[in-house]
Amino acid sequence: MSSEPTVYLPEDLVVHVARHAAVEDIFSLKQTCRSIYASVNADYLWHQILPREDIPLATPLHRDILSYSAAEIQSHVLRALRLRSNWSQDLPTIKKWASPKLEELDGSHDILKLVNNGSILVAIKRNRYHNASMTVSALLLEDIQNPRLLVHYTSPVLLKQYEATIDEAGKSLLLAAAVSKGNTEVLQIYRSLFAETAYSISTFEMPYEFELKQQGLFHKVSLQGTFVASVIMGHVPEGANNVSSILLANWETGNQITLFPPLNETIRENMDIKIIYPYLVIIAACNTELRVILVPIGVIEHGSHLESPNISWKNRRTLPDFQSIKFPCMDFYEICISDIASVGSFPILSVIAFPSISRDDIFQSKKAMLLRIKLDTDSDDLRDYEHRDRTGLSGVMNNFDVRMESYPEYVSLGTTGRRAVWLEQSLKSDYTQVVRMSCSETPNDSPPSLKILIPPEPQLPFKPSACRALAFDEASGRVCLGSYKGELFILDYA
Amino acid sequence: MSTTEDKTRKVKLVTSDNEEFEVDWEVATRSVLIKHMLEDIGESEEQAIPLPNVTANVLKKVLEWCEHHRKDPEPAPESSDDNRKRTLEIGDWDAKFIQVDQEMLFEIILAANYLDIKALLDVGCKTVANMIKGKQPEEIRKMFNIVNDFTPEEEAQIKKENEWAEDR
Repeated sequence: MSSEPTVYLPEDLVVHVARHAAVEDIFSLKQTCRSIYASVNADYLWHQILPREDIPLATPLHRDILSYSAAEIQSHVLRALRLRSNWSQDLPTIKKWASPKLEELDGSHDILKLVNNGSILVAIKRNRYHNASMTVSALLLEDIQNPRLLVHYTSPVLLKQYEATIDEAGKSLLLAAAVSKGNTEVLQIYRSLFAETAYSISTFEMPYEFELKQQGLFHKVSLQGTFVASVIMGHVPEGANNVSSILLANWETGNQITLFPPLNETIRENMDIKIIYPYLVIIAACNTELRVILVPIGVIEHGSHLESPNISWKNRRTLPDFQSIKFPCMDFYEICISDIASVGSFPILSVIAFPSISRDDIFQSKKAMLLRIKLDTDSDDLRDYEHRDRTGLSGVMNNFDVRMESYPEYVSLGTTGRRAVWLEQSLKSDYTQVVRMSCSETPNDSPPSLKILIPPEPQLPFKPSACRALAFDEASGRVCLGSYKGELFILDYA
Repeated sequence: MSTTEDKTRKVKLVTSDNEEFEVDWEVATRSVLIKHMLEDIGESEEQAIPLPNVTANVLKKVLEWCEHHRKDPEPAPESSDDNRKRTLEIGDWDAKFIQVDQEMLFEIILAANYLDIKALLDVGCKTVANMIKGKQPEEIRKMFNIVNDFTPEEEAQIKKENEWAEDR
């Protein structure tokens, strides 16, 4: 050691420095000595520096950030850093993979979803023939080599769309499903307690069920906490022309309302919704524009118990105007909205819109669009909303090229909206690969980058061409694939 | 709360090494601590304010900063957006001001923390954050003379737990 004066980084300043330091530097600082190690492991430090854009902590919105321990936050952040580092390579390394085989999972799955930061895989099989039914399975993926079956039940309905979440206590799986029962359109909520022991098959209860008594079909579904929403297609109330409608319900109380956002007539077929408390976000596209509409969840107070869409239509004039923002678009789009997308108190919602591909124009290069919209979720009071300055909604739009002669399938946007994964099928040659998109941490002008995640001939006992279902969780860097043969593959990239 | 009277008012500060500084009210009250102490003792008193945690050479430097920033608007109450928009940018004058040896840098940070001058604390901590940017633990230790008190086993374990990059 030299004769320089020994100057220590004062311990109580570690938290102040951490507030400004890049998150990866906090992990380097932590490894220098015992006292700094202890400071960085304190819950206080992490709670002080959150929320931050470079800490992609995908929090379930009902959970307070302060309820996370330093250990939990650090493990999330390290996984995020590992994923970022791995994804910066031309071809990311698969850190771990498994292909779980369980008796109950026999047969191929139609829709896979990863929930609870990638720790639970929900797999649904649809039986369309004879007696229509759906079989729901949920697997705990703590150890991907030995997944545990948490939920497994069958319901005699024809499933169209669903969304799944874990309840606040972390003890049961909630499923919002748009289904057909014979000739009736029904929106249902299933709740099933996790099985305590392996292989104890669980059952479900149905705390909410709403039959659409008039014409129309339930389409896209969104579920968060006690709120559920579904797009109703082809519903024409008395005295109206074509309108788009969305049912918004509190499934616990049964209080509900149907909304009729003022949209261009051609828009209604391309609509997606997402509940991001305290808002219901509606994304609607037509061939000239894509519109984002924010509806405060509080609007539900204008509704009533199991209110029918016709009653809501009659009362619609009492509702406030909703905040909306428009983006020009050149083509007819397929829409995909990111999941929770909460990285703190100002979540950024991401939307990918793909050009529709028809056989006639596959030889033209087309632009897809990534939209990132900042949501102010500080206030959930409807009255407050009505008096608010309406300039608060802002978004950044980036266009990116879609490979010629190919079309995307099973598009899955990550929880922070910064990454997405989808299956790319070529219409001309017969290659099929899994591609990945990533964009900057904060919305800016640079277009997202597109690279390969799984090439057509990977070093795996599986080829993307056999893929029939795909799920991606950004927080854990986990990708799940289901094949036509009924195999499940879990790939970890972080 | 600054009245015309405040503008002409002088404040006496006494450092740990018993040096007395007389400064304008507007300059001294950049420090929230001093501001509160002045409120406590009332305006009538000509009483000197003791600062037992700050030495004269450090206070001189801190007051230089306060003098330059005397007209700055009151810092806005902390919002959650502050953290999100993390930036390491420092103004030109501040950047020059903070070009001091490491001992002084830490002394300034500690004094800013004690005197509750948030903007100065930020300048100091951003400087430290800049210094450790992209550095390995060993480089940080060298830079700040931090003694590695981990056993080799512990160090290896901690390195493994906190590893995130592909090739380090």
